[in-house]
Amino acid sequence: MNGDSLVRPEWSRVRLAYFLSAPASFLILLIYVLPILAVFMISFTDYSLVYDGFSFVGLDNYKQMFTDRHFLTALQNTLIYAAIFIPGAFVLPLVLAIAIQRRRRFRSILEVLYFMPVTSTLTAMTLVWRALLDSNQGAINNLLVGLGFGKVNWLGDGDVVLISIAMVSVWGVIGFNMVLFLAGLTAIPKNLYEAASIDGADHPLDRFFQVTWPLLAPTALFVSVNTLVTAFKLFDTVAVLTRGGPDRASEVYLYLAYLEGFENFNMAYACALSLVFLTVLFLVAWLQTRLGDRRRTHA
Amino acid sequence: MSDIALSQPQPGFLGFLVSLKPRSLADAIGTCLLFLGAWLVLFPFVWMLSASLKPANEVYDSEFSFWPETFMGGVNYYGVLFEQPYLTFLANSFIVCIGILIVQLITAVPVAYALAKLKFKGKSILFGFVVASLTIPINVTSIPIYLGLVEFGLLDTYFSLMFPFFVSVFAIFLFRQFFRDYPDSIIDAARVDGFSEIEIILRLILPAAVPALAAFSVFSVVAHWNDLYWPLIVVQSQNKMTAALSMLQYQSDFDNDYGRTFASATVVTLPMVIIFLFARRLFIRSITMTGVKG
Amino acid sequence: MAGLELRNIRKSFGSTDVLKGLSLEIADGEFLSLVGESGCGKSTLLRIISGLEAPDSGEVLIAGEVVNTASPKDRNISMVFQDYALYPHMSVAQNIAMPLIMARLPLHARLPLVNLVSPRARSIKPVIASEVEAVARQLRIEHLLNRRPAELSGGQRQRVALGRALVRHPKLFLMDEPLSNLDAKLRVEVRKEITELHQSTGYTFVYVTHDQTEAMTMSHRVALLQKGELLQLATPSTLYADPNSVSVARFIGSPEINILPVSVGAEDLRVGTVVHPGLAFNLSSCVQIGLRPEAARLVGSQDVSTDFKLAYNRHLSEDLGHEVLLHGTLAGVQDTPFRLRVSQAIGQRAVLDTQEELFVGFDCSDLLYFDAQGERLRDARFSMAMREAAQ
Repeated sequence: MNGDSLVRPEWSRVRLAYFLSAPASFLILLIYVLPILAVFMISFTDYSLVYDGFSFVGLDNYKQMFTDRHFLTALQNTLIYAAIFIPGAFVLPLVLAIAIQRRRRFRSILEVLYFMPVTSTLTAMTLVWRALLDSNQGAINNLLVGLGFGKVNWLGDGDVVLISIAMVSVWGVIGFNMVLFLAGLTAIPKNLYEAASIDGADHPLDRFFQVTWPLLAPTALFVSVNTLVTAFKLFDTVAVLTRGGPDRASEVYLYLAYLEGFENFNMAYACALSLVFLTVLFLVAWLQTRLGDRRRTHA
Repeated sequence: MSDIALSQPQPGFLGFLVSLKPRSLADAIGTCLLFLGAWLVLFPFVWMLSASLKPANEVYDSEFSFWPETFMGGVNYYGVLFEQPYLTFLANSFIVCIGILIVQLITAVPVAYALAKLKFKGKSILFGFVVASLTIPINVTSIPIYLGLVEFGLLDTYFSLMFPFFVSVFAIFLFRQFFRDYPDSIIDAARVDGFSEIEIILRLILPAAVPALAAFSVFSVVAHWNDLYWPLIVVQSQNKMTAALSMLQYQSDFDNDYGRTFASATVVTLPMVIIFLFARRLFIRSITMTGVKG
Repeated sequence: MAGLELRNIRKSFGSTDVLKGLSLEIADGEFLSLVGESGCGKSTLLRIISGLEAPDSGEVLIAGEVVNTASPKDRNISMVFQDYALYPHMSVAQNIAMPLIMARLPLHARLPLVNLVSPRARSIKPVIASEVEAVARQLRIEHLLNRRPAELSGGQRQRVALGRALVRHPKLFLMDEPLSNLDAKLRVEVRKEITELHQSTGYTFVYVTHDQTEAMTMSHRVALLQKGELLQLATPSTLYADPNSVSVARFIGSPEINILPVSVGAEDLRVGTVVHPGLAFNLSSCVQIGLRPEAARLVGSQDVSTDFKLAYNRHLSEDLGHEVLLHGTLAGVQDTPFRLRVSQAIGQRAVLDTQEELFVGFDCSDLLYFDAQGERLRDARFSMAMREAAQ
């Protein structure tokens, strides 16, 4: 005990560190670690809340996916949706950010206006969109008819419904990604543009390809990964707008997992779905780190 | 961000304009297009506000006019706030958001400090768990957490609405980054001056971290105000329903009075929009913080 | 023909006038420094010359042509930025090649992907590469061509920036405080290299700095700016020995010149406790004099060879080895510091080491006379003598 007096500050700091970390660590265990383990275990059983008892069924839940028509449909829907959503959610905000960033006078007000949808409660606004997209009396079809086009059954046509949902989602995310791009653009040193202009690169295309785009690359990577994950996580809009309809045409991955888990009480199958989903998310995160690292060592 | 734009020397911009003189027309057209786009983006809000003032039969008129022929705004909003339980819904959302935020801050700040500035065994493992958990959305862990709440008979309580969000690994990650940038020399100086570690956190670190705390708070409140997924799972009765969840009721033509429907949508949306208009910087910082540091 | 001519350049930022009608002319092949304290307008002037900013009024002529409305790329100029402004995502070779690619490839051949298939791009790339290599060899950075700016030291980055400026053989070479980010030792080295570069290329150089030593050591002529106005444009030695005003005298020279208040009678001049009679010229408006720290000297208590001899109250001495720098005051002007350089070489050191009481001596011809506005009062006799002394 005598020797302790020498190392006491360190010791008390270590004890303090454990004390400070304890609550969060306990909660991480309870909210993340144990549930993930549980999801893992349940996914190998036939557990359901509505029946007593359960047995281990091995990989049955995972095998079931390959034969489950609904799963395959949901997977397909999610990918189609992502393919429509991601380009819009990436390109529009990028163009807007570049156009707005140069402006002095209107920059603030434009930033606020385009950001508004991000702050809004998506479930409430989706209700509005449902009214706007209404096939008979909605404002959008009224406009189309006024312009001499035919009406489109935005939410009732299985071939169109994913486009409609993607449109609403893009509307909701433009401001978010635009703000990220604006931050990235603002971080580009102004004197690089000046150097470029001295070097003769003063055409807007040269400015973009020689300076803006390469220096925006880290932001662009972050935005694209973020947008990809957002696309996979689509839930709210579907729940309010279509509930997966018509005829499962807009049933996406997380909505299916929700239905299986909390409507059909196929908890075990839902757990397997969740784990596959998580695997994809981890893959994306891993890929992002790899790409980011490579960029950093090359920069 | 626009601070920076404003601090750009005017002459640079004017000089830029001068060099672009033949294109100033194109610039004006660009500005017009930007405002046209902004109008399209804002139209749903305008439409919602307008509908909330109208009687049901006017909402879907083919000719859109902002101001109704028969003004029903008073009736609609009165109905929403006093005849329907929207005040309860708003209060529920408020309680849940604030409750979550307080617990998140209390749990995240200490561990973030420990991870940033203290040495202890298991630190890197703990941080590993934090980083891994960043990727895990509630959608993946919802079933076991739900089953646990069922087991303890806690469904349809405020506790059940808040519990999965009591620890925010994002907050821990963010605050750790922020604390790490705090100069060690100041902390050492404070130790020499006789500050205890707790005092260092409360009197040095926390005041310095206010921007990060504020931005995270906005982020957290907005996220949970707007959340649909988790309330959908644990809420069973009207008196625990959150504002965002209440919107789902209209799916099944819960209310045929469209004017009143959109009055309620306005009421649900308004709080966050107001916070945004007053705390614009924080909002934007809360978003850029997610991306800038990785 | 003038390499660069500025005619009555005005520029204001909002309500602040940064440049107030500035004119100057630089000969072809000349090395001119724009020097002044921060905020004097020197950087703005450089940016106006480069075309990054436009003047509110006035004309910029490069090689006799008015270029007011020409964009930077059409002026055939190069510029080295203070923090170099290298493109972080490009290799050293790509950085240096940039001006050539911009000048020689049409727009479509510069776009990503298209540039891979464009025959023109393919045929011209090797030419550019060899020119880049030649410049790199000249600057001794050929071993760095494949590195990125982030992997280079400050001095190496500096050279890359120089290379990017050199490669296009500009009519005008502009530099904006290019040495300010280097450490002291490197600064001296690069200073020498830039001078050599100027000699070997023969380009017209315009060099902006706040550091008078840089300006004095490198340039043919120095333009001293203050608050948007040109105080004096002259060779370094003229600026030092024959300044137009107190401001110039104070700015040039280190340690700073001594400025002492004086009173002038009908035909005499009083400095501190000493009155010197018999001035042969009219100095009635003179209220202050300037005296360089090395222009005065220590004299013995019995010495009467100088026009003025004042007791010196030493506060502090800094021994630099080859000279001692004294800080103190002269008898009768206690409020005004008086610095004195006591040189080893001319035997002054011995006086300092042996004398208990110090006396400072100087002659009328050592003094610079200024009026209340700080304008120089010139006496034909004296300034002639000084010019001779300076040369």
